[in-house]
Amino acid sequence: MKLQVNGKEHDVSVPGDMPLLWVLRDVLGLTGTKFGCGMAQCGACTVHLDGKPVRSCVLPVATAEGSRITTIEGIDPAGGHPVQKAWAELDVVQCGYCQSGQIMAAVALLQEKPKPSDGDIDLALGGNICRCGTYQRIRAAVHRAAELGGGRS
Amino acid sequence: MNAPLSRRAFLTHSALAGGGLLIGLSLPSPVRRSFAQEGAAAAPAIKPNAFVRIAPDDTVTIFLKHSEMGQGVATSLPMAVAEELECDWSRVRCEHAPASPDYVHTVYRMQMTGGSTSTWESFDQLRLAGAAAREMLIAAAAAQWGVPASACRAENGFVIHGERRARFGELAATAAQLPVPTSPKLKDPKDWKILGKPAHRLDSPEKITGRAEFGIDVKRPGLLTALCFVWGFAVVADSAQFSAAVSELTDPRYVGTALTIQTSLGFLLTLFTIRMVPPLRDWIGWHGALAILALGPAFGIWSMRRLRRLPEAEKMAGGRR
Repeated sequence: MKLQVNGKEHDVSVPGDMPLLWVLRDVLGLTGTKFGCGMAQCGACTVHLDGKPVRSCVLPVATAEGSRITTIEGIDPAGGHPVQKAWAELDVVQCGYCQSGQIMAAVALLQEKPKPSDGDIDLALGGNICRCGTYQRIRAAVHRAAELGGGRS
Repeated sequence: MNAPLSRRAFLTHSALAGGGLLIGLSLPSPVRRSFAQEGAAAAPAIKPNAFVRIAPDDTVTIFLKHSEMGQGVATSLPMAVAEELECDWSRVRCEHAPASPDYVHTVYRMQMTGGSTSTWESFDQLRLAGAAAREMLIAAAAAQWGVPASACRAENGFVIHGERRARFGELAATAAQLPVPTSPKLKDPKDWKILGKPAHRLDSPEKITGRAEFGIDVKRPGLLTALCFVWGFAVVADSAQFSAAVSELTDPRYVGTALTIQTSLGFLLTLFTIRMVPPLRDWIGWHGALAILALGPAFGIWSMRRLRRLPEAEKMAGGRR
């Protein structure tokens, strides 16, 4: 099976019903995407499929064949994406476990809505749970990322 | 409101006013006593090398004795070291320390994180480590320049004497050879430049790029194989009942042979059953496949009952069967 992950083509030999998350983590070694609940309830495993946020823990890998898959490692390894810059500037992270998913959801939102309102942010990121409770800073950082031009990439 | 209210007083008052229950956490007195003694005993055990590493390029790595779980110790504890070290804060990195007696909790005497103790248990220890490292760097520079250490000072990653300056990175290797000062001088809190001021988290860069390594991300190649080896050696891999019966009832000269035959037959059987399950499941579903597998244990039980009725079986379990 051929997968296009972060702009690179990978040939993987896995069952078609294997969740994309485990292909990314265990087969391709991209461990930035996290396992949280395993049933699309928490958002820690969020990746992009053709730019749209999906829950990789419940997505059979066969569904992702032929699509552009983007993980947190594909955003900017140097942390230079406006969303990452805003995250660092406002010290959003605490333990950090959910933040890959939060950032992926925020990047997708800004691509769709370059100037989101609080309501847009709550709607788009409401499914991304943070046990540390960083929600206030996440919302502020999404606004900051919008100012930094996060929707243009 | 006229007098400023302390946090503790606020909590007590608000609990009383609200009629609610306030449970204060106080340390049991033996722990408190040992902490009081610890203050006096902590001084000789200053180990700057356990907490600070200065690279030739001036990067200062501070080893974190506590687990960063979001509470911010990967930033606040390095601040305590850096304040006394007088290094350039922008060159400070933080790494989790390995397991070592150097990092035991000064009160609980084990390497642990919890109970909101991280900052107060290590604050003095870390500042002393930073101050000791600073004095060693100053001593190294003073010896190099042939001037008294008291005429030198450290500032923002340099040791300075008049017009002369030396980078910490240049001095680190020499300083590391020097004796560790037993009672380094701590700064007056009014001179603090880093502590008590806001700082950006040191752990953001790795956590916003997916590089941070969490427990679930740890890969130890060979660990599974090693576990299988231990398992294979330590765990009885066949039916304990059958093996016991065979070893007790067989002619002593053939016990080894009999056990080998029994184990080999057992594994031979699994060769078929394991191969059989996937096609059976596809054909008649899980319920049917498991029902067919249950025939084996059923046959085993029937055989054991039959064995128990034979007069030879009296010898099993030393006659106490």
